[in-house]
Amino acid sequence: MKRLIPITLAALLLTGCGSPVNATPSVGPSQIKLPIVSSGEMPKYKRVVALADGSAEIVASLGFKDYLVGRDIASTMPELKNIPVDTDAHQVSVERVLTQKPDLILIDSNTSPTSALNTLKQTGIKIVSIPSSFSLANIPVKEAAIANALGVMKAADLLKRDLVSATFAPSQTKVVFLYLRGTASIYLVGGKGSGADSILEKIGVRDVGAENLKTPFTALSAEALIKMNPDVILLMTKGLDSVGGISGLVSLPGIAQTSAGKRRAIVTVDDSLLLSFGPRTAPMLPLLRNAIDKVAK
Amino acid sequence: MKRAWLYLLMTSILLGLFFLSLQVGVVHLHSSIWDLIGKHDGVDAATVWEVRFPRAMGAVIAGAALGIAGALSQGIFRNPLAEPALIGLTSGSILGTIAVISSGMAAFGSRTNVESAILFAALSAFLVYWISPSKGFGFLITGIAISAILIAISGLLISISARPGIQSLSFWNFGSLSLLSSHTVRVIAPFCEFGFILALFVSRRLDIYSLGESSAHYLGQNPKRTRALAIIALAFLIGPVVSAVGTIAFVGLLVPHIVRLLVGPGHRKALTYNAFVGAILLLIADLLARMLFQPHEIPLGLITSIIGAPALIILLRVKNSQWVAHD
Amino acid sequence: MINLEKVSFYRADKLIIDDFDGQLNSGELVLLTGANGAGKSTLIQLIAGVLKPNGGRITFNGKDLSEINCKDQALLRSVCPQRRDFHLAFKVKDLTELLPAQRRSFALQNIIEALELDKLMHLPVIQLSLGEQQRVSLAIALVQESNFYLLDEPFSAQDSQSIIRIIKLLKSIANEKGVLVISHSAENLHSYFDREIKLS
Repeated sequence: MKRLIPITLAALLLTGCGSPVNATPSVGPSQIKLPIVSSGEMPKYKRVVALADGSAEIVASLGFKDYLVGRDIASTMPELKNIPVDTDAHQVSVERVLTQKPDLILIDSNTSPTSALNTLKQTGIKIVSIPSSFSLANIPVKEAAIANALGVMKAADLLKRDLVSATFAPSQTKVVFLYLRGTASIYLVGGKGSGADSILEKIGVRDVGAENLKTPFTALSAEALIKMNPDVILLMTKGLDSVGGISGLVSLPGIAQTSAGKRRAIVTVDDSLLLSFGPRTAPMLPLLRNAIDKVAK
Repeated sequence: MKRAWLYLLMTSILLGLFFLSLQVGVVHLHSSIWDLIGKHDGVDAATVWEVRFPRAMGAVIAGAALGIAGALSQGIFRNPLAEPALIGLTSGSILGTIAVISSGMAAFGSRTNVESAILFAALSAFLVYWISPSKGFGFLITGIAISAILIAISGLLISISARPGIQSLSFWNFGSLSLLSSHTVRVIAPFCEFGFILALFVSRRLDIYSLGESSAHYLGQNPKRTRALAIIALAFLIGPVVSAVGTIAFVGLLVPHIVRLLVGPGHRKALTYNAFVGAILLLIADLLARMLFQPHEIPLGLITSIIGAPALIILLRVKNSQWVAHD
Repeated sequence: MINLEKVSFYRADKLIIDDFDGQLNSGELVLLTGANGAGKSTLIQLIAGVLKPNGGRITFNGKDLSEINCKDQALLRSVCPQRRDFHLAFKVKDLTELLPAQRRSFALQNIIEALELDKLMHLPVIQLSLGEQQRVSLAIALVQESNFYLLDEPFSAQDSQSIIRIIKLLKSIANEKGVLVISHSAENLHSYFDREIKLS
């Protein structure tokens, strides 16, 4: 009997500040299977080095994983583990690329250094620049650009369907996306154009960050957060680790005073997944919506 | 009589600014501060008591500590440009804080953190004092060199450690009150208070000390003891502030000059004014940091540099008769 | 009585003071002379305790100087250094009141008048002329209540009338106390002093 008293007391206290969340749902790459379409087309190139961020996973999704001979560091899914990475600390290694004898190289505006790209150009290999994607709307564009380079447009159309067909019931849950790198003193709130705004809009929840902030990222301020008063806080998994987990997070000024902070209603998504905006984005959406609904009550 | 009025004036300005700090911000309050006293529920109460109050208290404590520390350093080094950062106290505090965070001994803003900052600050200042070849120029250069080494070690620890709360070098260089929690304010307050009391005690010796070390000795004061006590007081004032909010530039340098214009050169009678002026300046700077580019917040150290540096130059030009530089 | 017994002092391996013997008694005004570099100022700094002798013994009323703490030394002797570095805008009055009242001389007002500082009391010291600053420095030393006064070049920047006034003041102080004065400009003032110590 005696043991029950503190528990009941604790329960009473906790109901005073809303029902607490027991676990922090987390969405990771292992929960997602890379969608792969099969269009029966024959690509124009047989040996592809995909250096543009996330381009390797798109090539694989289009159904041509076997044509990949080198990949970028951002395409992290387990299916691509056996394909060699051709960059060193985000710098392209010419020698490594050449040993794979590619006939097509996919790059984007982030691919560097320019000198390495020039050398590759002089060897006569076809190099195609792919647009980067920073929101849901960019995904089909990027996929189409890669499909176009390979000459497999039917596959791109098939792949697009996943994203278009996904619909979610609207919800009044207020979510805010925080970009945190505690060890570097980076504490940012996602606003309009953060990328997360397009995801939250798609899955039918309210992004109070985007409703209040016109710029993609704004330094976290306690008052601004309290004013938004989110029900759920969305973070990247390593972002939460970098501030010392949940207890570190709620000790940041302002967090503990929000509805989400009081109830520890936190959802995390793997760092390389959340803003990857590629073929894994569509399967991620229902998982994220589920996780948010689970802690939103 | 004049002093009583000055105290009254400063107290009113301080209270007014403190009230303003509670009143204004991004969150629009629906009830007045008076109605919120004793309340803990609701957005208004949380904003005022959990966010604005610790922040304003932090500004007052840090401002007072920096003001007093500035007066103490200028007095003890008999140099109008001396400030705690020059003698390794600030960099020592940063290293002390980072050392315990990176080794996993304590979290950012904890008590162990503050204690380590104080210890390292005092050790660095004594080290500078001990190895410097002379008391004048050589002392300054030694202070700068030691500070550079300490900052480099801090930077190294930051880059090899990924402990939560270690913060970037830019946080430590441009201090900010934005990460200050009510818990941290409660942790640093008693240490700073001890620093104030010790500083009050030391300041009684500084008027005599200002005539030079030999003169102090002739008048019956042990100058070595004065210096040692001052360094300990400085460590207790600077360590807690730096470990909680980082470096806030120019406050320590500027405040004593303003106070000398107001009440003259005496250290003993001016000490409390240094605390007042420091607290007032920091409350103003923090209000600006919060309000200037709403909802963006700028680091406090940036504001104090932007306001402080030109103000210092003007002060030195307008009334340079308050201090004559020798050597 | 201040007693120096076989006192020697080296600075950077150079012998400045060699086996010096001498005394200063209460009730005498003594002139300390010697060529430049003979160690006059060094001798005062040794007696004042800011320099430590390499050999020999300095005693105050029989007690070894090294056993007397800083505060007690200041009750036994007061020192006016050759130059004092005034860098803050203290008023002259503040400087004559640096010490707590119980450690100030009863003759404070006489001293201020004799040093012609009564009209300067409310001016910042750093605005005064060199000669005026020297008299302020002397005032700081003389208002300190002690048994012996050690004055290093107290009239180097004074005109002859001021020098006479100051010497008369010192003479009156030397009725009870011991006063030691280093001076270059005292050739025609020998008659005022009770005796002269020559350093070679």
